[in-house]
Amino acid sequence: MITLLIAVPLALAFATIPLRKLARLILPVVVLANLVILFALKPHVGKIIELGSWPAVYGITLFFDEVAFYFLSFVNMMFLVISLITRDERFSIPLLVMNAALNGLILTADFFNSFVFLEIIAITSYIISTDKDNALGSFKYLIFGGVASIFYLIGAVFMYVQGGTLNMAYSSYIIGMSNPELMKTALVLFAITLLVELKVLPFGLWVPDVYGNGSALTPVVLGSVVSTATVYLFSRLSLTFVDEHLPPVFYYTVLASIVLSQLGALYQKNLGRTLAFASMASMSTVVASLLTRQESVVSTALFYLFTDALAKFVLFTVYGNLGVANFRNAKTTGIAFTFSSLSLVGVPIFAGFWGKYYLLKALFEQENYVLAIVVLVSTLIELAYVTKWNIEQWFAKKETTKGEIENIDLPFVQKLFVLLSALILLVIGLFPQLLLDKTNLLAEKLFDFQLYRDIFFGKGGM
Amino acid sequence: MQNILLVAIIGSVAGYLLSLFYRRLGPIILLLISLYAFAMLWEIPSNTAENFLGYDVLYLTTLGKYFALLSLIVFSAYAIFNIVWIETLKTPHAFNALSILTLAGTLGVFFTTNLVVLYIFWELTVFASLFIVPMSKSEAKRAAVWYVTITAIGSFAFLFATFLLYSKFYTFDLVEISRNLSQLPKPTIWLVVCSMLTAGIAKSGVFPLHVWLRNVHGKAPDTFSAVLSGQLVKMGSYLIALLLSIFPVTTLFPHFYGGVNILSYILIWLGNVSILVGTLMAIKQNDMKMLIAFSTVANSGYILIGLALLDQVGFAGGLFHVFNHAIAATMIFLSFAAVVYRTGTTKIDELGGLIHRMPVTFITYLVGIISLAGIPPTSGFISKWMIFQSLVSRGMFVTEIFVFVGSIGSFLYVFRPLAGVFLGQLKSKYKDVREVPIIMQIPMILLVLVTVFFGVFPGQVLEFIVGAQKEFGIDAFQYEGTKLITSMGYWDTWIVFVMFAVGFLIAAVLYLITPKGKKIPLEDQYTSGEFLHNFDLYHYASRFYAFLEREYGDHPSLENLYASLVNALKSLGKGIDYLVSRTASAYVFWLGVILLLLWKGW
Repeated sequence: MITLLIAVPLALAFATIPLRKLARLILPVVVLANLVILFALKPHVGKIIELGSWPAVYGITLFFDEVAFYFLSFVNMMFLVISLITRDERFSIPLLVMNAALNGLILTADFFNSFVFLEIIAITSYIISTDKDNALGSFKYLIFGGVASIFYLIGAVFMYVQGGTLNMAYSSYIIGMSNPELMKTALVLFAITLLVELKVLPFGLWVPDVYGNGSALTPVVLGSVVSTATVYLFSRLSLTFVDEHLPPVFYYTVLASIVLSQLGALYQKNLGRTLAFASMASMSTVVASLLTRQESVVSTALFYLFTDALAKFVLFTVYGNLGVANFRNAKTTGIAFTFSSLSLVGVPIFAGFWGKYYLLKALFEQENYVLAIVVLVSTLIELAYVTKWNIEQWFAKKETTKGEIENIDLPFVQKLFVLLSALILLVIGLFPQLLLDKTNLLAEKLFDFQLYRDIFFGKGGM
Repeated sequence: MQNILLVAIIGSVAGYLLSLFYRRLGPIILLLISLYAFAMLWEIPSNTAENFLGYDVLYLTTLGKYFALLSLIVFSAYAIFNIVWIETLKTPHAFNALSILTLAGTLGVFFTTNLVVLYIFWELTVFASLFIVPMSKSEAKRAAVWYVTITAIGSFAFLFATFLLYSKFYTFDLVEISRNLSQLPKPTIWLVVCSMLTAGIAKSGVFPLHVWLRNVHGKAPDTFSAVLSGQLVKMGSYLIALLLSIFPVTTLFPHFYGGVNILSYILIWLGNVSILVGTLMAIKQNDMKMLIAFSTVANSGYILIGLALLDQVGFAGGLFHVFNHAIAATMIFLSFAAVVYRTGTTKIDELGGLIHRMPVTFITYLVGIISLAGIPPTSGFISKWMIFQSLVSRGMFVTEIFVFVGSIGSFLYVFRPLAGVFLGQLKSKYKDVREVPIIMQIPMILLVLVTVFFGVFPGQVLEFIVGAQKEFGIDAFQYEGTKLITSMGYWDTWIVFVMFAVGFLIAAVLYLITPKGKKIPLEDQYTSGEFLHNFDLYHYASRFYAFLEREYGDHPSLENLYASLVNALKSLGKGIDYLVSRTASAYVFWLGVILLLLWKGW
């Protein structure tokens, strides 16, 4: 059944190539169907699905557990919202393909298979990011992503050569037992690839040009959905399958990336690029927390990830559609924007506050003062520019001077979802435990390789 | 306390909605909430613990109660004034809602000793007030960013210390932490205490984090400046007072000079510099609101010195000065708001001669500055006297010089608006200016009465102060009725008042029995046979203190230093942006990665 999450969007994408209009209508239906299937299958988490009845060692296997369930739900819900607010029918087919690939990326338990899905996501991302004639930006993205994927492939080859199988659980187990050094090398290779999509400087040098081009769709899809799915894969690879830290150089790079991206954002005179840098900074924060390999920190990093993705969705949707707006004439939109940006910074009673609160608390408990201070300093910089842009938009001059500030507002559907997301941020802010319980569970499962293996070995594949 | 907070939070929503129908309802709701809160709070005894939304986090100290009641007085005056003043705003509903939310936040700060809850309410206050600041002038946008950033430097330092303490003691409760604080190693104690105090220093506008006050107070909506200076800045003083008294500072830090520990000594020097900087800068200002903004810096310095002394007289003086400055600043800013309401400018040299046109406003300003400058019989004198007494008894003569210079300087700078705005020649364009409506006069008159009353009968205020001192184990300030006793003597406010009253009566009698001066119009004077075309030239208010300003014209400026620091950070960001905007960066980057990998042998 869970296979449908990949098969249906993919099949319908190809089926609707001649019928673009239909694709636009089908997209939300497909994503909704995905969600229905997901929730129907929730009681059956903790299972593997062997495609074509090939045993796990030989064939491609899907792995469906709690972690995959929550990530899939989040990704598909964001996708549903995106499909409902996107009016551009050019992108319906790439979005369908991307949806299939994202679901596949989260579900698959096979190295080569995940490489294929990564590539599909990358290709659809390039297509989407050429929106608004941003050829140069997406070209740069193509170079970054294209070269990066080679490293992933080499990593997968390493695993296959040494482990004898492409199955993630089996080959990691075998190599972990026989040749841990090689496992670490493969992980470094995987990490290099994933850091490109995770927007860590200098791997994320492509981001501002692609995100900041003014398209509403690109940053929302890449920032809220693709990044989340990539975080899933990254945490699986770096937390579940290995017991060791990545080389420290990664950690320091990510720390530098947090601060440098915030400084980049501070400098910007264009809101879109500011948000792009901000999203690099927050993703770097998540990655830095994952690299600590401490369960409490990872849990809070996921909390931070989800709330941040939601906030970024609002900010990018508003910016993508309105540019620098005049919120006096678009109050609802303005309130959603302000709520989300305050949540992004971590102002109390919004979800983002608890994200940073739990993160700092966990870091201090682990006596990891360096990351804590970096987070605080980066938040300070973030606060300055977020405040600036909010005030800029609320207190813009009422007269439209040379069309710079127009009296326009979002269409109803977009406004509705933007407001809903902002309210969700507020609700999570009031009841953070709702989300924290889930992320605690996710973090616990992510670290439990024993459980992951048992699901496979229990099948008696070897 | 929970009820008060909930009423205020819900009230802010109600204030917003009702203001949509009729904008004056917002201030009325704020007034009702303030009065309700005042009545409720008066009845709650100190050291009461309460739940908030099911969490056991609220705890009322005498100190908190004192500050909360004071804040409510300020907010009530502000609310009454706003009932009419709100007409001038373009966005009254948001203004009303955020004003009420600011009150809720600030009360929350005073009602808790839980560090995280304190932080939450603190940020609520900052962000509610943040969006009020740019509401009337577009130049205030930048000021608001500075405001939030500098406050955040403090509050993030506070948060850092909070978590650091949590990682040691696994509690956020300040009372519990203070009991065990001495177990930590010395450097950690320094780090924690200094980080937490930074929040108070940033918020109360003490050097070196005072740079936001000028533009924020100067450009915020006119009545809100009263709240900013009269109330929000006091939140910083509250935090300093709370931390200094709840932590066993005198035992944690070694004694340094004059029976003062090293931490207090450092704080006293920050206070000294604040007084100097605030005073000198205030003298220079031509904008009356910015002038009082710098005077706030100086007065925060006084408060800090008093609090840092942590003794029977000085600490009490610091707390009393909080009261006096809050009321005085509110009076002064409200009187300025009244002037701006009628004339539309804050520039001193554009005004003049309003004394006959706006007598109530003038009296309010006059009493305000008398209290601010510390002239008896107003209460402003008492607090400065107490701080001075404590310094003298310790032999801290250098600090005394600063305090003294600050006092003399305050005569100078408060005189500038007095002479420039209210005295001198009335400008012809303001010929038809009238006194503000009666509703705006009410809070001003009430505050005048409050100042004079507590100047003569300071008992009620002192009762709170003594309560706060006892609570934290500081020797209580001695007083009997109107007689304030220190180790060096006593001051009887009643006798002083009677002396001044008699002097005033004699002056009044003399005024009445001596011949009256003749009032002549502006045109009626010697002009060497020339026609007088521009009467405004006869008002000498521009470059009022040029002879003084010359002496320190080229002083170094912290504002510029911070601005260049931000620019340096931005140029780093520009460097990143440069890398980003080069397409070749992708090739170079990958080449680098591959070489690195080859070199590492992977």
